[in-house]
Amino acid sequence: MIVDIVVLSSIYVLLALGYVVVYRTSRLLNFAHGDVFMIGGYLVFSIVASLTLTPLLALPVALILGAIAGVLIYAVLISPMAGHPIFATVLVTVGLGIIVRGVALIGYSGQIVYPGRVLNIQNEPITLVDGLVASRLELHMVVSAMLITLALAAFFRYSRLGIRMRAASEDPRLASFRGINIHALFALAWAIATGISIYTSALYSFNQQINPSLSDVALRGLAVSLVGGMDSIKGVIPAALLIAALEIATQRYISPQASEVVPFLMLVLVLLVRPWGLLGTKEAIDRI
Amino acid sequence: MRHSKWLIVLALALCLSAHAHAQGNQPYVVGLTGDLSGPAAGTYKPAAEGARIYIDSINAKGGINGHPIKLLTRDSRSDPNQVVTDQNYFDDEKVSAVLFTSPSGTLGAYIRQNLTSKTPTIYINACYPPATPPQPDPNFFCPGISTLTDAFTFVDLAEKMAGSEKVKLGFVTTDIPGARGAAERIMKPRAESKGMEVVDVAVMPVASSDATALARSLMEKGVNTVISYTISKHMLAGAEALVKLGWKGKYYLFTGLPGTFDQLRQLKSENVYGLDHFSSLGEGKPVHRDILAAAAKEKFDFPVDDVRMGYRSAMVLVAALQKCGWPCDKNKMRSVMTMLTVDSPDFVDLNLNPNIFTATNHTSPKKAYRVFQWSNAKKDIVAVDLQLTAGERDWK
Repeated sequence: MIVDIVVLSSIYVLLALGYVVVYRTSRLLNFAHGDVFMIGGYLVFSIVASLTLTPLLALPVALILGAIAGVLIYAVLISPMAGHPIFATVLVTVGLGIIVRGVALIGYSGQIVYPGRVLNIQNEPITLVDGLVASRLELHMVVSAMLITLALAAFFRYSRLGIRMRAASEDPRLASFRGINIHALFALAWAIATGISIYTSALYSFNQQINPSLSDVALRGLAVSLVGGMDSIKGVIPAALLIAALEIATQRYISPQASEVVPFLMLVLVLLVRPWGLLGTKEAIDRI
Repeated sequence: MRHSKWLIVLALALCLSAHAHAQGNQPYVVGLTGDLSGPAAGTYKPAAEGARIYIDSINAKGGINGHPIKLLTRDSRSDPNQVVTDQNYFDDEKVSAVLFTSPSGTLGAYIRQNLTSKTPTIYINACYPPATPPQPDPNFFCPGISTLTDAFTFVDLAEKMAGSEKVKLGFVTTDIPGARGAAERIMKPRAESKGMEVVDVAVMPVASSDATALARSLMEKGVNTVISYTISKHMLAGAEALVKLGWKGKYYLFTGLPGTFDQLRQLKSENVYGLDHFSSLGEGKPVHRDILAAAAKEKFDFPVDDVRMGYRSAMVLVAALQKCGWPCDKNKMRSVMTMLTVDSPDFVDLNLNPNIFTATNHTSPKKAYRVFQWSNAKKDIVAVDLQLTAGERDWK
C-alpha cells in the first residue's frame, strides 16, 4: 500500500504542478490541462515510433514538445484574450479541451495503446525494501516528481525570471510599467506547465496505457492543486500525499468505486474549511 | 397491319426486358447503425468497417441473386435518441435488415423502437438477451454465443490450463451490471464448484484505467490465476499492471471483441491468454487472405484483426439475403433468419463453427473457441493447442 500511495501521489504532484504554474503566474485556471495530458501521450508515441527514435529520447522529446505546445496555446488562444474577463478566458480553455478530445478520437480512433511495450521501453519490476515491488517507470515518476517540484520551487524563489513571474502575477500592470515583458513570462509559464504535462503523460502512458479517458486522471490533479493551494508549489506535495493515501485506503478497505470520489470530496471539504488551500495565499482566493 | 403487330410485340418485349434489367439493378437495401465516432468508436467502428468490406467484396463480384447490396450507414454515437432516429430512417428506406453495432447502453432503446419497426436485426457485439434462448425476440439475432456461455467457458479454460496446480483465482472486472454480475454471480460460483479458491473480485470504476493498486493487492493475496471478462480498457489494464509488477500467474481475457487482440501483441507477455471466438488472420486460409487484402486497400487506422466480428456478421447477413431471394422484404427476411444455417468453408474457417439460428435460439447452439497467447520464440501471437467448445445456455 505504501508503494501505491507514493506512486499515485507522484502522479498527482506532476499533474497538479501544471495547474499551479499557470495559475500562479497568470491567475488563470486551465481546464484544457487534462485533455492536453491525454493527447500528449498519443503524440509522443506517434513521434517516437514514426521517427524510430531511441526510447531514451522519448522523455526529452515530450518536454520539448510540451513546451512548444504551451507557447503556441498561449500565443494563439490566451494572449488575445488579454483585457477580457477572466471567465471568458477560462471558457476558452474549456473549448480547447473539447477540441483536443475530439482530435484525439479522430486521430487515434480511441484505441488503447501500450507505448512502453511497443517501443520496448525497459520497465522491469524492482524489488525495494521488505519485498515491496515497483516498476522502473514508477520509480522514475517518483524521482521526477521530487526533482521537478524542487526545481520549480527554487526557480520561483531564487531565479530572476521566477521573481519576475511572481511580480507579474501579483500586479501585471505595474510589472509591465517596470519594463517586464509579461506576455513572455506568461508564455514561459504555459511552456513549463504544458511541458510538465506532456512529460508526465509520456511517463504515465509508458508505464500503463494510453486511452482517451486519461483526461479524467488529470482532473484529480486539479483537485490536488486546489487542496494544496492554487498558487502554492509547496502545497502540492502534502495535498497529493493526503489525497493519494485516502484514495488507496478507500480502494482497499471500502470499495474501488468509492475511491473515485475521494479527491473531489477532499476538494469540497478543504474549500469549505480553508478555501485558499493547505498552503495557498489567503488573499489569492478573493481574486477568484 | 402485320408489321404493326410485330412492332407491338417488339415494343412489349423491349419494355419487359427493360423492366427486368431495372429489377436486376435494384439493390437489396440494408441499414447499419453503430458507434462510428465518439468514445466507443474504438470497439464498434472496426466492427462496422468489417461488415462494410465484406459487403463491398460481394458487390464487386456482382452482388447476390443478381442484385447489389446497398448499405445505408448511420452513426449512432452511443446516443439512444440517435438510434431511434436511425431506425426511423431505415423504415423510410424500407430496409430488409439492419446491422446494429453499439454498446449495450443503447440496446434497450433499439429493442423498444424495433417493437414498432419489426426489422430483422443482426447485433454485432457480445450476445445478450433478447437474442438468447429460450425465447428470443423474433427480430433480434446475434451470431456468436452469449456472454453467459463465455463466462462459463472462462472458468473451464482456467481449470484446463491449471492442470494439477491448485488455482487461487482473482477476477478483474468493472463496476457495470453485466461485467460485475458475470464475475460475481456466474464465474465465482462455478469456480468454487470446481474446487478453485476464489481470493478476490477486483472491481474497477468505469472511469478508471489504472489497475496497479488492484494488481498489487491481488499479488499480495497470492493469486495465481486471473480472469477478466469486462470492457477492453480494464481487461488490458489488469494484465498490464500484473505483468509490469513481475507477476508470473496466468491471466485470461477476451479477445473476441475489437480492441483487444492486437493488444496481446503489444503486451508481449506469455502469461496473458486471449479467449477468442474467431481464428487469427495469420492462419492463412482463403477467408483470412481475403480480409487482409481488403484491409490493405483501406488503410485502416486500427488493427486489422478488429474487423473479424463485423465481417462474420455480414457473412451471416449475406447468406440470409441469398436464401431470401428477390424481392426480399423484412417479413420474408425475418422468416429466413429464424431458420438459418451458415456453414460455408470460409465462414467456418473464420468463426470456427457454423452459425445456426432457430426459432428458440438467435445466437448459436454451440461455440468453438480458440485461445491465443504471445510467443517470445515466434515474436507473434500463436494459438494454444487446446480444443474448447461450449453449448449455449438458456439465459435466466
